[in-house]
Amino acid sequence: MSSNKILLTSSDGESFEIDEAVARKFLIIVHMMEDNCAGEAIPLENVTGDILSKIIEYAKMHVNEPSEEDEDEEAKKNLDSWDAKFMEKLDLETIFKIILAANYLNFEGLLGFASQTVADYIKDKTPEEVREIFNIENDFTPEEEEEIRKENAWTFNE
Amino acid sequence: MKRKSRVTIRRRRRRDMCKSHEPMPYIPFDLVIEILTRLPAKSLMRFKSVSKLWSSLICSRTFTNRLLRVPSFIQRLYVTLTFLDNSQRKSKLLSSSSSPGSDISTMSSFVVDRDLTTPSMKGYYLSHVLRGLMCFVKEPSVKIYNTTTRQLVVLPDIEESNIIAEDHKNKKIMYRIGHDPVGDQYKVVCIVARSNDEFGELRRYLSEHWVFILGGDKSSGWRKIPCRSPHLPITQILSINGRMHYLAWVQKFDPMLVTFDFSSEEISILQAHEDIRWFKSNPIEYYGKVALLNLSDLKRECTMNLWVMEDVEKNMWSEKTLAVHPSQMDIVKSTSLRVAGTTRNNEVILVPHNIRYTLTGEVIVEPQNTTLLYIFLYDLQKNLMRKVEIKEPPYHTKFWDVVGLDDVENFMYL
Repeated sequence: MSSNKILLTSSDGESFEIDEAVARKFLIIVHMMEDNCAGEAIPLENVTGDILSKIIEYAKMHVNEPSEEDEDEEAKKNLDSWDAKFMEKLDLETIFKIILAANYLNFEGLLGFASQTVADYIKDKTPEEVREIFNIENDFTPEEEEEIRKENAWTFNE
Repeated sequence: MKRKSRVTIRRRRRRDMCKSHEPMPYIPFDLVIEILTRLPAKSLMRFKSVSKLWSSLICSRTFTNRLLRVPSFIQRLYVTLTFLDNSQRKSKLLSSSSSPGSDISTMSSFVVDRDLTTPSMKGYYLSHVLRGLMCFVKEPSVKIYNTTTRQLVVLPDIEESNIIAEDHKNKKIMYRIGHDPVGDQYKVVCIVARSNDEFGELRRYLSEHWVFILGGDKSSGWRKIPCRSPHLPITQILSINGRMHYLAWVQKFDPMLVTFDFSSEEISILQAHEDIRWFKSNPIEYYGKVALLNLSDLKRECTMNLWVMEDVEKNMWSEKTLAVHPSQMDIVKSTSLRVAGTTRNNEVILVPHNIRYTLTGEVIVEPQNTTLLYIFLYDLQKNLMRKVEIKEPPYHTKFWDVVGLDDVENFMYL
């Protein structure tokens, strides 16, 4: 099997050499290669080096994605465990940046996983906390907000 | 190919996941949607008050449709319990879920985890649940309840109905929720019928069909649907693939299969096969087709009769007699069972029920044999029943019933 190496450059000038198989997890690169735009190095303008290195780390672990029918329970468990540890170490800001980068790179697996991580993090938070996290302005009038809370009182209790 | 991406993250001393002082990177809205579609219903309902944009998104049809596509691994069984509390009769509506990770073919126990009882349900009978929506009836009144958002709406009275207005003792009213896949709308159908006052050969029926669109413009109200052959429904109603089906009499004792299409709102009537026994026949879904499962001989002879509509154009039916496996015969001999729908993997839901009929034709609900809650799932092809238990009810009573199985989270605003 060819072990073609692909060179990726981050927006801040860091270079990463990775196997083609790993690079193919990023659909944006697949498209570039198909369009023959991939010359010597592929510049990734929207991803900084620190984030790109994390993403590559994740992609390398997932390069041989087991299919649903794969019987290897052990391997799946190990991978899940690695995934959990990978996210645990990261702060929310980094995870947000990973989401943006995974979206840009079109790396669906990581985008889904990171989105799920954020979802799990915010699911028990109050609306105020969520506004802070996503930098959202509250555009309800106090009366409107009261109305909605009354309708959904059960979501604040149980 | 997609692996389940749910991973439990130990939320230990994550000092501060958010680096203070620095604003978080701006997440464009389409990526926020990726996060929102992975939230449980309760969180989504709470986050409606985050902003107007979030509120309109969470209620929007596009969003709820996206959610419908994310397969829900959680099946829900809805249970009603009736018991005495300080000599006051109380009824509770509870929701139980299958354990996450168990799939539909292996699930064997459910755990009660939600109490959905609302005072406005008092006195109403829970008729059925479809795609997250429940239909409560107290003739002639009907209420629709969204099990996900917990919104309860009272539908307006059908003021223009002649039959409802009459005080006739043989009046029958049935309501059914259905989904129109073409217009992506949820509709409620009301069938009201009674016999004419003739006897014998001259016995005929008067019936009306009314439709109400849920979540739509309230001013449109109930609309009458024309039907060329008035009839009396004589079985439960089955909803599949955007249509509903039931057996009915145009003429007494002569069963017809009536079909109502939720999209075109047309009623079609087909003669049922002459050998079909209508008494104790239950319309069910059999591998995508309309079928009738007859339980008349179940207790006595441990057999069931299945009629499948193989070809609608030619009105061709096939028939099969299913014999209960010898190892399972005492189940059916000791407990009366009724049909409560089918699961996504074609198992028939059988619920124990203990009812008797008085001489005047009234139905009396007797206590069940046990306070333990359970149902059976019957695989028609393998001819095997398996027991599914519902655990941890907050009250123990012998008056319980399982209303239905559902796995859809529906965020629509009624």
